Parts: sequence; structure tokens; C-alpha cells
Amino acid sequence: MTCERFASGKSILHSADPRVKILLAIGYAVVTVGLGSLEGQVLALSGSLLLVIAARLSLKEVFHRLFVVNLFILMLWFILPWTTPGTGVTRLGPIVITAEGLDLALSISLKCNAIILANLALLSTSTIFSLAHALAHFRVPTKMVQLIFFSWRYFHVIDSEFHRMKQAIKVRGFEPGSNLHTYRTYAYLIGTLFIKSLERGERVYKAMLCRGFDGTFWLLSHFRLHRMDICLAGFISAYLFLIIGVEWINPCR
Amino acid sequence: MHISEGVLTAPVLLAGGGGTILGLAIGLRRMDVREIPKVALLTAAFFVASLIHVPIGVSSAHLILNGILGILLGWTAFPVIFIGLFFQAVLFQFGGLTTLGVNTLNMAVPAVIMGALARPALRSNSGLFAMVMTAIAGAGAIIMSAVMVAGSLALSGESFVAVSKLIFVAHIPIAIAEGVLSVLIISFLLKTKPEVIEVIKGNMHSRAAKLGLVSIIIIPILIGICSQAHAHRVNLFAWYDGKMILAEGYFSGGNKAMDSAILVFDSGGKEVFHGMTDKKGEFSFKPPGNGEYRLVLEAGMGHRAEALVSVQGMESGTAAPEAGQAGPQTAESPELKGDGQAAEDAYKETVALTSSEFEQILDSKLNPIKEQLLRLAEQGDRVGFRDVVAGLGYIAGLMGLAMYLTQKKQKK
Repeated sequence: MTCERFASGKSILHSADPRVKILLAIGYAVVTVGLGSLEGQVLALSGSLLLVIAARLSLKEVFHRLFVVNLFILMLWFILPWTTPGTGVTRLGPIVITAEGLDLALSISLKCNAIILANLALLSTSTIFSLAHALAHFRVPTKMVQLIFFSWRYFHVIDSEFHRMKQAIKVRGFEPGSNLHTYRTYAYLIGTLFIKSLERGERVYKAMLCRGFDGTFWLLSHFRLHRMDICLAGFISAYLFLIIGVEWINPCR
Repeated sequence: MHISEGVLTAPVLLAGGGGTILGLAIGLRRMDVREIPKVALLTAAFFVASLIHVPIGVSSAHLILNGILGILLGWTAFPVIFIGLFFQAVLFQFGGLTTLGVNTLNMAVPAVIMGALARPALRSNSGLFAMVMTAIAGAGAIIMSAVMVAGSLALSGESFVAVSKLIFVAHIPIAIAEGVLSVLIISFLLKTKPEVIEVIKGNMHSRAAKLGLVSIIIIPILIGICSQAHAHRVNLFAWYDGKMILAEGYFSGGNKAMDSAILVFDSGGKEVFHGMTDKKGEFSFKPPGNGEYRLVLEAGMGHRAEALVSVQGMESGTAAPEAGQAGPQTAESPELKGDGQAAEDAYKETVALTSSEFEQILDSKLNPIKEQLLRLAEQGDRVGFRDVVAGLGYIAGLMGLAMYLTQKKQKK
């Protein structure tokens, strides 16, 4: 699986403290979601573009990700302009395109892409393990952190198991189609996957018991806040306050 | 099934977040520490299974399987779905951080409810009953999720009503496919490893089933209120000024319903006129005769309003100002006819004139006020409903936080 594709790198954002990055990502998302003015939204989008550049991510990869997510946004562009009540701009046959509808579609596109780019730069530059580790430091319930750790640890195992089974049915000439045979095959595939994962879960638990597991989640390493992290946090929060200020000056549309 | 970032409004996001915190707190509390590896492995399995694309007719869809999740895990479905969505948000940028709460709630609540419904059936000895309930749970969880997704979109603004309808319709074939798959998966599990279901039987609660039933009763009521709130979105205000029927259409936000089709039906249901509203959202037409007229305004997808106008005294030229208020005036005319001929005619003329003029003046003064009142009443309605939803979310979130804090205390 090509999952944590952005997690390896040597930029400032890659080496930053995941705790700081989680807080900044949440702050960025919360501020951006609430923006009503075009100026604020454009600022948010350009800020997150800068972050992506600072993280030195492969732009080709980034645009590929954006493309997939923007398919939903594209659907909104096709529907919202003529279903939103408001002042008509043009008319396409019986359909009236409203200015309010266009505005809404534009603001959603700007906000959505701004948050996604910020998340790419701030969260996807860390591995899931270090994010879960950071969550443990935030006093997230230990059961939750352990669940995240274990499910990510075994996700790849289960995934390769699944691909092995899929190859096996392909070798036997399976062609998916809209029929009961396909559904039954997939159901048995999923059922087997469940059974295998449950059995593995039991084995894992027994192995952990042997090593003295009592439900405690020990944190062996602790993050240390560097000067760079404080600089990053200060810079991004200052930028967020700039956006809030611009939003405050400009009236909502 | 994911709602992207930047679409929903703050109250909906907060309500979803609050509900999810409560669900996570309950789910984590019910899960024993010893179960963590098993649940984690199942989470991974569900995450992998949700990446499978199953052909449905000419197209294909990826699986959601929240019905099965609810049957196998009950309340633990909350953390499992949350983790799945967290991975998707961080790894593939599907969904997002701010919508994590709403998306989790939209998938996990149906899982818990449908699981609670199907579990007692699986416990029973009737195989057919068990399979029927499994099918209902598998398909019902998707339908319920689709309704909740549509509802959270619709609550975020009337512009999204069309989108949410589209989403709902698109999920009906997926629901059927998931219903079939659920039956096949559960019967496979019962045949190959009945302990899987036994494991579940261990932590079955009749309380959960009761809660599920209660929620099933509450949710349609909420949806009903929701759809009712949306039926009020366009308003049509119509009156008769003595010569013409005048009508004005506007949206609840205060925008005029311009360039929208308007249809007029008589009391027999026959269409007598159709036209368009002008730039001010106004419309006028001359009725062919006395009677009740039904005006229907069609302003884009799903925006529809109706108004009734009664027209009386067309021939004599007297004015019937508004529906239901025409009574006194028509009663006046026969009374006057009883008097002397010449004087009567003149008298009638003047009285009719002054009264119609008076009514017109009153109308022109009162109509804007009436309109304003209607608008205010309706806006109050809408804000009220959203506040209730947001409030429920806040309460749920606070309860979840309280549970989390008490859990900490117990440990100490």
C-alpha cells in the first residue's frame, strides 16, 4: 500500500513536533471552516499552499490527491448554482443560475482545498504512529490510542492477507459482475478476512500476555519542543490571526 | 458517504462532534482492555473490506458494511468507524478533520441501532428470522446513513437540499447490495466459525436493543420536523385587489423568487393560467370569473409554495381584498338593493367605491407588514430547529466529556 506517502522527507514540517502540528492543523481547519469573506478564504488557501511548498511535497502527488477530492466539489458546482435561491445571473434554457449559488460553490471549493492542503502539509508529514503517540500525550483515552496503534500496525498485515486471497480467486478465473456468484464470493472473502483477523487478534493478545501486558500503555519516548517548533507555531498562529482580522474587516457575503 | 470539509455549517459540525464524543465514550467504556487486539484487528479488516469495489448494475461502489459492524461489535462500532475515518482523513484526505465528528455519527448511529435490532434475532433459534433481520440491518444501516448525511447537508442550508436528495437516491442500490452481502457474510460466519457470533452474544445487552428502538422512533420524527421546516422555504403571498390577482414569491432568506414559474388552478383543479414572476418576484393576472383560485409557485428543484385566493364580486366591480375576508362586502350589496331605485344606485356606487378604495389603501399599507410578520415567524421557526439540533449535540458532547472525566477518576 502506498499510504503514508508524504510522511518521509526532510523539511521543517517533517521534523516538527507532531503535537504542535496536530494543534496547528485543528486551528487551521476551525478558522477556515468559519470564513465567510472571499478575501479570508483566498488568504487561507494561499497560506496552505505556502505550507505545502514549505513541506517540499511532490506537487504531482499533491495535485493527484486534490483531483480525487475535488470530484465531489465538482458535483456541487453542477448542482448548487441552479438550486440556490437568489439573484439570477444568466439563464440556460429553463435553468436560472444564481449569483448566490456560484458564490456558495466558490467558497466551498476554496475552503475545502485550503483545509486539505493544510492537513497534507501538517498531518500527512507525520506517520500514523507518531500522530497516535502525540494523541497519547494529549490525554486521549488510552484505549483509543491503543486501538489506533494496533489497527494501523495490523492494517498492512490484513491488507496483504486480503490481496493474497484476491489473487487466489483470480487464479481460479473469478470475474466480478452483478450477480449472486460475485456477491457470494465477496461475502466469503470478507467473512474469511474477519475470521482470520479475529484469530490473529487472539494470538496477538496471548503473545502480549506472555510479555506482561496489563492494559497500560507505556510511553517510552517523550517529545521535546524545539525552537523550530515554537517558531512554526508562532508563525502559523500569527497568520491565522491575520486571516481572522481580514475576515472581521470584510463583511460576510 | 463522506462529507468534505468546508461544506457544513458550524452548528451541524459541533452537533456531530458532540454526538460522536458521547458515542466514543460509551463505546470505549463498554470495551474491555482484553478485547483491544481483537477489536483493532477487526478495525483493520473493516478498513480493508471497505476498499473493495463491488459491481452494482452498470456501476460499482465501495462497501461501507456498517450494518455488519453494528451486529458484530455493537457500541464498539463507534471507535472502529472513528478510526477508519481518521485514517482516511489523514492518509487519503477523504472526509476531513472538522467533519470527522459528523461523518462518524452518520455511520455509527445506524450501525449501533441496526446491530441492536438484529442481535436478538441472531440469538433466537429461527434461522429465517435471523437472516431477515440481518438483511434489514445491512440495508437499513445504509439507508439510515444516507438519510443522516442528507439531513446534515440539508440542515446546513437550503441550497444543499437537491444535493442531499441526489445522495439519498444514489445510496438505494448500495443499500440493497449491502443487505444481500450482510446475509451472505453472517451465514458464512455462522457456518464456518459460530464462535464469532458467540463472542458477540457475550456482550449483548437488552438495554441496547431498547435504546435502538427508542432512537428508531425519534429519528423519523426529527426527519419529519426537518422536512416540514423545508416545506416552508418558499413563500407565496397572494391577494385580490378588485381587478387582478396579485402574487409575490420570496424565499425565507428574504430573496425574491424571480423568474419562477407560477401556475393558477381554479376550484375544479383545472389550470387556468401559467406565467413567470418578474424581477421583483411579483406576478399578476386577471381572473376569468368568481371562485377560489389555487396559485402554485415552482422556484427551482424542491422549492414550491401554494396560496389560495378567493375572487368574489367580479361583475359588480367590488373588491374582495383577501381570501376569507370577502364575506361582509358581498353581504352588503343585496341589503342595499332593498332601497329606492335612483338613490340606491348612486348610494351603492359611492359606498362600493369608497369601501373598495379603503380596502385597497389598507391592503397597500398592511401587506408589507403581513409579509414581514410571515418572514419573521418563519425565520424564527428555522433558527429554532437548528438550535435544537445544535443544542442536542452540545448536550451529548458534554455528557461524553463527563463520562471521560469520571473514567479518569475511577482509575485514580
